[in-house]
Amino acid sequence: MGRYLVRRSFSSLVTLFGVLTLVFFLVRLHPGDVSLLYDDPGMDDAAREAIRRAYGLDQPLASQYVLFLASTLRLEFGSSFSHHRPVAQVIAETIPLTALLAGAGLFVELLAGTGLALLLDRRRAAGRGTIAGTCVLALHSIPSFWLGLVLVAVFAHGLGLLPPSGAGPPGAAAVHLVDRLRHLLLPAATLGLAGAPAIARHLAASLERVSSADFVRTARAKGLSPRAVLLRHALKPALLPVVTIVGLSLPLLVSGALVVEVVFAWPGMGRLAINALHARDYPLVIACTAVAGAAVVAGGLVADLVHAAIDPRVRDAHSSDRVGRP
Amino acid sequence: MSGRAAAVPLAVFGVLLAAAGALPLAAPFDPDAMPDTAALRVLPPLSTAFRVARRDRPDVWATAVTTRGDVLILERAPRPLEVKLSDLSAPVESRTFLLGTDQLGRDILSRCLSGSRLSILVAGAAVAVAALVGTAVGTLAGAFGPRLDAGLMRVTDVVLSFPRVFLVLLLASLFSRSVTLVVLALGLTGWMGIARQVRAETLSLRAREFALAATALGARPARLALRHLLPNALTPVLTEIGLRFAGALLAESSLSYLGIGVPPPQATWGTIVADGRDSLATAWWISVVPGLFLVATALAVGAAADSLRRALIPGARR
Amino acid sequence: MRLALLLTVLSGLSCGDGTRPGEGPAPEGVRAPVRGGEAVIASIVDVESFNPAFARSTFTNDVLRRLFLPLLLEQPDFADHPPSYEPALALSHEFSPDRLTLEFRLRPGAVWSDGTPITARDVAFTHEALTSPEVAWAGVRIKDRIASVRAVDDETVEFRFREDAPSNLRDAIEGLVMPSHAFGKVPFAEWRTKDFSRDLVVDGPFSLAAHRKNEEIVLERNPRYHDAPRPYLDRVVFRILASQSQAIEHVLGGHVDVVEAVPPDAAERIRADRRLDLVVYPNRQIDYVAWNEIEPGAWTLLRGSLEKEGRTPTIEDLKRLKASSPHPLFADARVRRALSLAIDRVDVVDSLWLGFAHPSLGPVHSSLWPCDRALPPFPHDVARARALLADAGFRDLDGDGILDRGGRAFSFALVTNVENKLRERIALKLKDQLAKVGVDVRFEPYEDAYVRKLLSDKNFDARLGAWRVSTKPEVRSSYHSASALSGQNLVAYTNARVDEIVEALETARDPEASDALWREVQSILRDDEPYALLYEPLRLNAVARRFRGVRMNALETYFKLEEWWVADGTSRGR
Repeated sequence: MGRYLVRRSFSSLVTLFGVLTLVFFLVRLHPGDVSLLYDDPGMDDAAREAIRRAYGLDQPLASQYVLFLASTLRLEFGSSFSHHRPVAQVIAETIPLTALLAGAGLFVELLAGTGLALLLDRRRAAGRGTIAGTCVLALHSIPSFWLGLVLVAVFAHGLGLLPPSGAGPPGAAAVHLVDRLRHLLLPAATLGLAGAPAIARHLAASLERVSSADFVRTARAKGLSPRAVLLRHALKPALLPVVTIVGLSLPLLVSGALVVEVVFAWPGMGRLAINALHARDYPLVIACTAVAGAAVVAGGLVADLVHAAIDPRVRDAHSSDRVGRP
Repeated sequence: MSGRAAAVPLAVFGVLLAAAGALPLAAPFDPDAMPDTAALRVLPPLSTAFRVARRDRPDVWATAVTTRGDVLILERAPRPLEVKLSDLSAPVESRTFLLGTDQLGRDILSRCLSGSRLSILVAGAAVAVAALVGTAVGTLAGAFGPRLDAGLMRVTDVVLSFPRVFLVLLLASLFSRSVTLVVLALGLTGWMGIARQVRAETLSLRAREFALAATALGARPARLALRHLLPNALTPVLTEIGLRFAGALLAESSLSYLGIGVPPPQATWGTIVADGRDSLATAWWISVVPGLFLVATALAVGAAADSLRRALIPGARR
Repeated sequence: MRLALLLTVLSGLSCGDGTRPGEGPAPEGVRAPVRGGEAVIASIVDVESFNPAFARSTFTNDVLRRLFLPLLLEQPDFADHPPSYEPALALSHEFSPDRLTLEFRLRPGAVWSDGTPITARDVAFTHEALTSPEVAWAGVRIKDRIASVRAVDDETVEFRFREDAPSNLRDAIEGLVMPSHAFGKVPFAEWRTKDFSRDLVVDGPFSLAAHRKNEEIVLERNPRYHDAPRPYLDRVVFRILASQSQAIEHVLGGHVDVVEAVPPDAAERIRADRRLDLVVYPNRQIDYVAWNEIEPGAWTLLRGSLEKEGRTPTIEDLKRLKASSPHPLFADARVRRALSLAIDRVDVVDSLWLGFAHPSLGPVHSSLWPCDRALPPFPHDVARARALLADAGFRDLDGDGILDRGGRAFSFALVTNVENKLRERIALKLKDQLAKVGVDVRFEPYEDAYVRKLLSDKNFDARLGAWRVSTKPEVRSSYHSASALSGQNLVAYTNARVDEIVEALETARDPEASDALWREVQSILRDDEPYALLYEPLRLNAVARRFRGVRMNALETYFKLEEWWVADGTSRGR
C-alpha cells in the first residue's frame, strides 16, 4: 500500500504541474500585454512593484514560469481588483460553501445514481431495459442550469416551499443551520440529479457484470431471493468501481457546481469566478481556475487511494496510475 | 454493420441537419421583431392578441377588442386606446402566441425556432473540432510507440482534470467573445474521450494480423496509421461524435446562460433562457420553453447515437 | 390604498420629498415615535471604506452619513430654488461683508462616541486630510477656492476663500467631519491601506457595531448622539445580497425590510404585498445616447503623438482634430437631430420602464430649480427624421433597407454595460426604432471597466448610458470643451458660447442674470443635441409598511434615518 501511495501521489503531482502549466500558457495566449492583466488601476506604485517582482513580469518566459509556479504553490495569487484584498483570502472565504454544495451534490448524485441503477437492473432483468434506459438518457439530456431554474420556478416561486436563491443568513446558530439546509436543498438536488445518470449507467453496467459472476450464481442456487442476492452479495462488489467513478466525475462536479452557484446565487468559488470574469479581475479568475484544477487532481488522488484501500487487486497491478479506469 | 438498424439513427442525424436549416423558416413571426412591446410584453403561452392596423401606425396590438358604434376599443397596456373604424387600413387580425412572448414582446416560439440554427451549428462545429483533435491525438498515441503514447496520455489526463467550465471561463476572460471562441473553447476541451477511444482502437488494431502483416512487409508507422488503422478506428468515433453532440449542445447553452457564450444580439437556446432569468417569478415561460427544445434535441440525438452504437458494435454493452 | 399610492406617485412626480403612501394615522394609542426595533436594508455591494475620504459609491456614502455628520445638512428642497441648509454639526454660519471669509459656530457640548468633545480642530483636520496629496481625495477639486481653514477657538471655524463664488458655502461644507484625535493617529500616507472599521469613532446617530465583509454591516444607536431621543431604531443592518432579484425575493419573503432600486417589472409584486410600500420619486438620473463627434481611434492617435512631443492635448488640439477627423456619421448636427427624432421615448417609457420614467426635457434634470420646465418634450417624428437624413445625403441606394452615403452604410456600434438587463432591452428597442428610418445599430455590451476605457479613449461610435446629476446643477462636466480632455464630455462637443455661459454661471451672483443664462444654455443644447437625452427614470424603493417617519427622497435615500421608528409590537416576517 505504501508503494502504491507514493507512486500515485507522484503521478498526481505531475498532473498538478501539468494543470498549472496549462493555466500559465493559456494566460500567455492573451493577445494584449500580459503584465496589464495584473495591473489594477487602483493600485499604488509600491504594490505594482511588488506584483512585478512576484511574477517577474519583465523577465524572460522561463523565469516567469518558475515564479508563477512558486507563487501559486505558496498560495500567493496577487491582489484582487474588485475586492481590494489578497486573492487567496477572497477565495478561501468561498471554498467552504463550494465544498458544502459539492459534498451535498455528490451525496444526492450517489443516492439518485444508485437508485436509478437498481431500477435499470430490475428492468433489464424483466426484459424491459430499453424504456428505463431511455428515461436515464432523458435525465442525462437535461442541462443543469435549466433544471435548477425549473426547480426554482416550481418549488420557490410556485409553491413557495423553499427559498429561490442564496445560502441563508450568516451565523452558526442552530436556527441558521436549519435555514442553511433549506437553502442547500434545491442547489444540491440540481447538482446531484444532473450527475446521477452517468453514475447510474456505470453502476448498472457494473451490476450486470457482477450478476453474471460465479459467486452470485452460487448464491442464487442456494435459494436466496433475487433481492437478497442483489443487496447482500452483488451490490458491494459492484460499488467498488463507483469510488473510481466518483473520482472521474469530479471535474464535472466542480464545473456543475459553478453553474448551480450562478443559478442559485450561492456565494461559492464558482460564482466568485464568474463575477471576477465580468469585472475583468484577472488575478482572481486565474487563481480560481488554478484552484479548481488542483482540487480535482487532489480529489482524484483521494478517490484512487480509497479504491486501493478497499480493493487490494488495484495496488498489486504493475501498470501505472491508470488501473481501473474504463 | 447491420444496415437496417443503422439506417434509423443516421436518418435522425440527417433530420437534425435539415432542421438546422429549415426550422428558422417555420417561425410564425419575425424572431427579432418588436411590433408593439407595450401591449405584447410577457404574454403567457397560448395567448391571443389582435393586430389593429391604423393608417398612421400599422402595428397597434391589443389583448381584447370591443366595438362601440363606429369606434373600436382596444384593451392594451399601458392604457386602453380608441380607434375609429374609418382609420383602419386593414381588417383586425387575430394571432396566437403559442409559447408566449418575452419582455420585449417577441414571440418565444419564433425565437426558439430561429435560435435552433446557431445552437445546432455551434454544437456541430465544436464536435467537429473535438473530433479532429481527438482523432489526431489518439492516432498518434496508438500508432507511434509507447513513449509518445505516455506523453500524450499525460496531456490528456491534465486536460481531463480540468473542470471544463473553468477552462472556458479562463479563455473567455482573455479573449473577446465571439462564436469562434465558443466553438474553439468547447472543441478544445472536449476531445479527450475521442482521443482515448481512437487510441484504444488503434492499439488493438495494431496487434491484429493485417497490421502485423503490413509491418512485416516493411510499412512505416505513419503509412500504417494513415492507410490502415485510421479508417478502422473511425467507426466507434462516429458514434462517439453523436453522443458528444448532445453534450456540446448542452455545454453551449450553459455557457450562454453564464454570459460567456455567443455574444448578443445573436440568439441560441441558452441565451433565450438567460433572457428570462430575471423574470422567473412572473414570466417563467421565457426560461422554461427554450430548455424544452434543448432537452428534446439532446435526447433525440443521444438516443440516435446510442442505437447507432448498438447497431454498429455487435454485443456492445448498454 | 390605491388612491394613496396614486397620490404618492403624483406627489413624487412633482419632485422633492417623496413621502410614503400609507403614512396614515398611527395605530391606536401610538401617536409619537417610540424607541426600539430594527431595520434590515438590502444591498448588493459592500462598503469600500469607513473613512469618508475614500467613499466613492453611493452606498458607501449612504452608510457613512449615518455615522458621521457634516457641518450643515442639505435639504431636499431644490425643486424651485437652490437647496437650503439645516444645522448639523454647525449651529450657525456667517459670511464676512466681502464674502471671502466664512465662519461656522459649532454645536456646544457635541461629543464623539468615545466622549471626546467635537471641536473646530476636527473641521480643520478634515480639510487638511481631504486636500492632502497622499490621501488624494477624489473630490479635491471642490475645495479649490478654499485658501485655508483654521480653528479660531474650540467652537469656531474660519474658512477663507480665494475668490467669491455662489457655491462657496456648499463647497466648504462638502464632506463629513472626521475625528482628528482618532484618524489623526494614522499618517496620511497609510490611510489608503488602513482598515478604519476597527474601533471607529463617530458622531452620527448610529455607530458601527460590526462589519462582516460581504455579509452585513450592523449599525447601533449611538448613545452620545446630540439629538436624543433620536435615533429611534435600536439597530440598522445592511445585509449584502448577491443580486437585485435576490433582494426582491428577500423583501417579499419578509427577510429584509428595505430594497432600493426595484426594477419596473417587479413593482407590481411589491404593490401586491400588503406588508410593503412602493416609494416612488424622480431619481436625479438622465439616460442618454452619446454620439461621438470624433472618428473612433483618432483621439488615441493624437494623444500618442503629442506624448512623444512631451505635451498633453489642449482644447485647440481637440478642435483641430474635430475638423480633420470628424465622425463620419455624428459630426453633422442634422444627423444627430434626425436620430433623436427617430427615437420614440414615450414607447420606451411605456413598454420598458412601465411608466416609471419621464421623457426628458433638456440637459438640466426636471427636479432641479434651473430646469426650464416650459420646454416641450423631445418630439418623435419619423417623417422629419427621414427628411433630415436625406438632406444630409443619406439614401438607400442598394435597397437593403439601410441608408448609404458615399458607398458606406449607415451602421454604427452602440456600446452599453453588460449585466444591466433593462439597459440591454432598451438598446434592442432603440435598434428596432432606428431600423425604421434605415439606420443599422450594432449592439455591443461590454464590462464596466472596458466601457470606461473606450469612453476615455473616445474609441466608440455611440453609447447608451446614464448620468446621476448632483443637486448642484451644472452642465460643465458633460458640455464644456475642457471636460472633453478630462471630464464627462464623452463626445468632444465644443461650443464657445456654451463654454462662456458655463464659466459665467459659476461666478454669477445676480439671480435674474443666472436665470437668463440657464435658459439660454438649455436652448442651445436642445438645438445642438450632442447627446440624445432620453428620459429621467423614477426611483422605486420597497419599504416595509411598519416603519414610520420614512423620508426617502431624491437627495438621499436614507435621509434622516434617525427619524424612522416602528410602532410597538410590529415585527418583520410572515
